[in-house]
Amino acid sequence: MTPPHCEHAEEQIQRALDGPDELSADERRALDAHLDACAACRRAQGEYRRLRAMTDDWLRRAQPPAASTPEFTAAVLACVAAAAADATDAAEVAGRRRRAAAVVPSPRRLPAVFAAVLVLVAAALWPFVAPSGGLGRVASAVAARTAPVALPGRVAAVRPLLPPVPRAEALREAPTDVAESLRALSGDARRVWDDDVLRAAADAARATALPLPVFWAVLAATAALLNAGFFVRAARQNQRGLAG
Amino acid sequence: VSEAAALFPAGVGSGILRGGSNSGARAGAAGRTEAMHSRREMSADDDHAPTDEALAERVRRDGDAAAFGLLVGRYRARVVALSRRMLSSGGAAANDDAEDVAQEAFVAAYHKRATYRGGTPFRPWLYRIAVNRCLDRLRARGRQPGMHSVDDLPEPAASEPDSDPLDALLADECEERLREAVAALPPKHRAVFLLRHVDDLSYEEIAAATDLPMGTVKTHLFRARARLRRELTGYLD
Repeated sequence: MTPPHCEHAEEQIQRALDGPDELSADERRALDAHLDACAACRRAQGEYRRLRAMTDDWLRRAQPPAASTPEFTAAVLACVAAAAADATDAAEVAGRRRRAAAVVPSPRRLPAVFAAVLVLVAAALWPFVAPSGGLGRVASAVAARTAPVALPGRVAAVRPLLPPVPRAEALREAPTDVAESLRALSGDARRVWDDDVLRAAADAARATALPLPVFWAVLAATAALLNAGFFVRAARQNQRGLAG
Repeated sequence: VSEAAALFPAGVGSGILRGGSNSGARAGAAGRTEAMHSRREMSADDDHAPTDEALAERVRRDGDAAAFGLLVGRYRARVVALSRRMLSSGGAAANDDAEDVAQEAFVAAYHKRATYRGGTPFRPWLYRIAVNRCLDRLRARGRQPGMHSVDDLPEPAASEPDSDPLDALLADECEERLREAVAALPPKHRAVFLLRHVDDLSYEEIAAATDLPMGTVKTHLFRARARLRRELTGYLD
């Protein structure tokens, strides 16, 4: 069993060996006095010294030959450069993706985009398909506009919405203020409501209307084009991804 | 590599980096490495070689790969030695392991360059990364028990080939005992002990490199050495 002061001395021996400044002058003197008196600690000091020399040798032997250092350094720098290149590539690819995403929707959003485009196309085509409700109304409005006389505001607003019915009926069913306005119109203006004009407008509308099969065909063609466009873009992106 | 390292007369392979005076040895190595790596520095006198800290600052600020190359050249030998002894390796496979860990440590150091604080010593910062790499590797080995067999291989002859065969035998045995004793230390004690001896780090620098309080560093170090002295009784006379 090591006496307490020897344990303390052992620590001081180690500290003294670690550096000349590790011990204060007082500590140094106390240690020297102890070493003079204690053979065990003198032996310990010698053994720690030997241990240090042995360890230094052993660690030196663990060092690789200096001749291979440039090779090692080159390998490290190559790793560093490769990582930097990867980072640049990653940033570039990410940038390209972001820019592409601004134009081409991500595959996850494709169904939604697809549906939206179809709905828009259908909505744009619908007036041409339904002659009585859609273009018919538009055509009669156009025909009315071509009439030589301008109508008072309220009537002008209502007129396109009125069905192509005889003037008498129109007057009966029209809101009171509109009917009054119509009655107040001059003879030229009344011509607008002549059955002939309205019937001609409706006929013209029917003539320009799309048959239903054509409507579906156009919709299907749009769908096919959209699909093809998306597939081509996706394939191009994939190729870029693989190449990068 | 392992044979070359073992047969290389001490002082030829490594003495350039570890001479009598540590800083002088480092400056010498720096001058040599610079001559190899950069034309601009070829005429640089050893005294004018940039300090580690100046180079590290250049790496941190500009990602200067040439400056980093100089640092790798200066520290490669010591970091590999530290890794090799940390991983307490003997066989050739384990030596390659140490080189791999050292290389990983340097690459990691470059990527973590932003964490280097200008004006602080470079060595503890670098060794901290290296020690952590070694500890990670040891932990990974712990999960793979098969890896331990590598440690059981005897180290190639430590002695110089032309020395007295009996002395050589004794020296080899001595080193083998030291290797076993160091390998038996707890990893943190081993790290503290090796950092103290591989590059003469101060207690304070060891504390910075291991992220341990200074008091703990001293306790670990003194206990580690006391234990080694006990284990090597009869070899230290």
